[in-house]
Amino acid sequence: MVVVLKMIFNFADKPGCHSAAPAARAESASLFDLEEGCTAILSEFELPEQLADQLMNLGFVPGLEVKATRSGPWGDPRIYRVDGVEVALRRDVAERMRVTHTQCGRGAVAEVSAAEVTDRAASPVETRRYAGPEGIKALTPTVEEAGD
Amino acid sequence: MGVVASASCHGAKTELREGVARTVALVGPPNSGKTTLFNRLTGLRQKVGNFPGVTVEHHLGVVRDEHGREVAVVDLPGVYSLTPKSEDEKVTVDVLTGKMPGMTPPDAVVLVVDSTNLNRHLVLAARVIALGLPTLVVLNMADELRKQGGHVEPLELARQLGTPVALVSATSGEGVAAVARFMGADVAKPNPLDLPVLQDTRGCREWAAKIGLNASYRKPATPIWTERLDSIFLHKVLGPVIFAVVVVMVFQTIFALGQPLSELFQKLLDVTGNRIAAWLPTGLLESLIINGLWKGVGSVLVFLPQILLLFLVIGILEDSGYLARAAVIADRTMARVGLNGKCFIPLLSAYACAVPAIMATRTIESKRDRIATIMIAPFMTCSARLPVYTMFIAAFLPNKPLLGPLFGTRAAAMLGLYGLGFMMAVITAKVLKSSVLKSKDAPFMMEMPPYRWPTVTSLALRLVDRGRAFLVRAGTVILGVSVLLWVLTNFPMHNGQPPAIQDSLVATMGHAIEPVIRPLGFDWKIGVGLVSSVAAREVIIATLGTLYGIDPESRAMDLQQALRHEMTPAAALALLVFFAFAMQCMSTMAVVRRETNSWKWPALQFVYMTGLAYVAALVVNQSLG
Repeated sequence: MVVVLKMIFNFADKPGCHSAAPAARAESASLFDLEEGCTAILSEFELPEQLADQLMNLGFVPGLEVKATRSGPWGDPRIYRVDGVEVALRRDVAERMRVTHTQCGRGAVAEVSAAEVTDRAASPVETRRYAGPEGIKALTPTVEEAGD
Repeated sequence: MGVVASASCHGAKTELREGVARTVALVGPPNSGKTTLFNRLTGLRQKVGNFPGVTVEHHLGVVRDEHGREVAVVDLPGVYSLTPKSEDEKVTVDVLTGKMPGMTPPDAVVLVVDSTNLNRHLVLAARVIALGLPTLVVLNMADELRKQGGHVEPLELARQLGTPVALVSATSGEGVAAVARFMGADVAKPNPLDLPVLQDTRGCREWAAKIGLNASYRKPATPIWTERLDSIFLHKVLGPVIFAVVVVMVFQTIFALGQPLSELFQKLLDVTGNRIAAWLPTGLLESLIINGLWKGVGSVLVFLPQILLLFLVIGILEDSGYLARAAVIADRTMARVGLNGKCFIPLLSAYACAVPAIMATRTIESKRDRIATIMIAPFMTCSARLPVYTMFIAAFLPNKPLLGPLFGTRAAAMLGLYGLGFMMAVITAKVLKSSVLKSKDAPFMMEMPPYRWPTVTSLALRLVDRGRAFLVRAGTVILGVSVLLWVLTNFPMHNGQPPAIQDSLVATMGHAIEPVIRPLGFDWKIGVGLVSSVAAREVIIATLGTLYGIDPESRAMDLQQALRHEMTPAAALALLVFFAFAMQCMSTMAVVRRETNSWKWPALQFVYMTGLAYVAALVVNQSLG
């Protein structure tokens, strides 16, 4: 329990990403709240099926890692790197896409090898194996899980 | 026997000769280099056509296989999937399954995917292979894959997919011969090891990852230049500054370079016309050929320098990858009127001329946004309105300095007219986008392609393609209207001689519409000017010059004096407002017809714009007069 909290504090100290501490856990946030330079894992879309399908065809497949890279002036639209491509999305769409495991700073991993798709989709915890040493901290189980 | 029928191609000579051995369809996601490969294969042996009933365009080309037999190739729109949700996808599915009227199902499919992004693009492969047509999977951009340290085993991939696989680089020409060979050969149907459930995109993606893994696919490193250039072009401060510079440069190119070129071209056409006239016996035939046909041809050709210049600039911006970044920067502003960032460049070029601007809307993927952009583009103050504005402002408004010596009342009036057109465009866009063209189903999402050097071949082919499309499609309509206008000004004949303009059919029409335009403060002479300005807006000046020159009352005056003599200031202002709003350009209408593939939109545009112009001019004249 203590260990877990310490890790979270480590993240909170990192500059440039205010939401790091709470979102580093498996808690869900909207993609739009993902700040530039941060990565997260796509979880679900609160969008009509057709639109969700379009997004998936562009590369936004749940389970994949997504990174907010840059944005237009005034922060909208924002460009996301996902599955090897960069795609610009407006706020109205990004707000309705949920992500988990937000991670910022040097530990952020932009690229995911293709083999991870299956694993990530099956169980997020598995991604520990791939996310690198910094990533493991980010994917620390939630307080509830750790408390058990 | 796959013969692509001509029925689908609206008269442009897109029919391919009988005896073409096979038809092959080219399919692939956007940014996969599909069109580059198509251009490599067919060169100039290609033609543009529209599918019946839709705005989607296709290119048809001919490839010679190794035995010298001709194979027809149809380049289908870029799609990510084959679930027929968008118009592009529906067309692709219809062609591949043989449901497209006037087209036989293709004998084979060439699927083009980007090898630097293989796993993502293989999702489409599952769907194409499932169709059961003989398929060649082309792994394009093989040179980039190698250069950036990527790797793939084509043989193993071929075994997994059950189709032939070719590593190709369409830009360098590597492996293109193998594609041509496949197109001419009889190939077995695909026999994949396994396929995912196609409706499940995530399942497809997992399948693609597995196939990639089995084929030892290693994704190349992200090109470092794209990252570096983006840090400049999408920089918080520098980005918008560079964007503004690019915008000014585009505008300057069309205005400062295109317009003199067009004028020079016009002079050349006039001189040639005179030369031809000297050869011909004087008479009706000479008049028809010179004043009808040649002037008609001229009024089409005169747009060509501007069109080619604009497409050169847009081609460089698009092929290099900057256009996508520009769209991101402009998007927020364009969103305020319900459009997206991609509509910005076409609207900007409409300040030079609506014709190339409307042709440039092709870069807008969303059909509704594209039509909305086409509908508002003619409100932008084009260069043809300038001579009219200049003449009337000079005639009626004394120049007094307002803000220093450079910005006087005349400049202010000009700026006001520019603003008026822009304001109406914004209002129209808002109205259209919140009613008939509301697009809740197609939000803005855009792939950022990596930066690349535009190639001369691709730019040249684009220019030839656009130039030809404009000349063939728009040219026929414009030529027809020009000949009609010639008939109107040259009939009825008196003793075999054409009438003076005040006795011609066009004058009769001027008189006929006089009751309608009287409330605007216009007499029949202005009416004649309005009718003749259908050819091009600035023609009204020449027409009025002729009419006032004949009239004994105004014969001795120059045009400005004559205008003051003939019109009240209120009527002159009404005329300016009328010109700001009215759809008076047959070239624009011909191009709108061509780009939307229906008469519905140009008709609506004409009624809306001209109706608006009428009401606005009426209000101006009545309230001031």
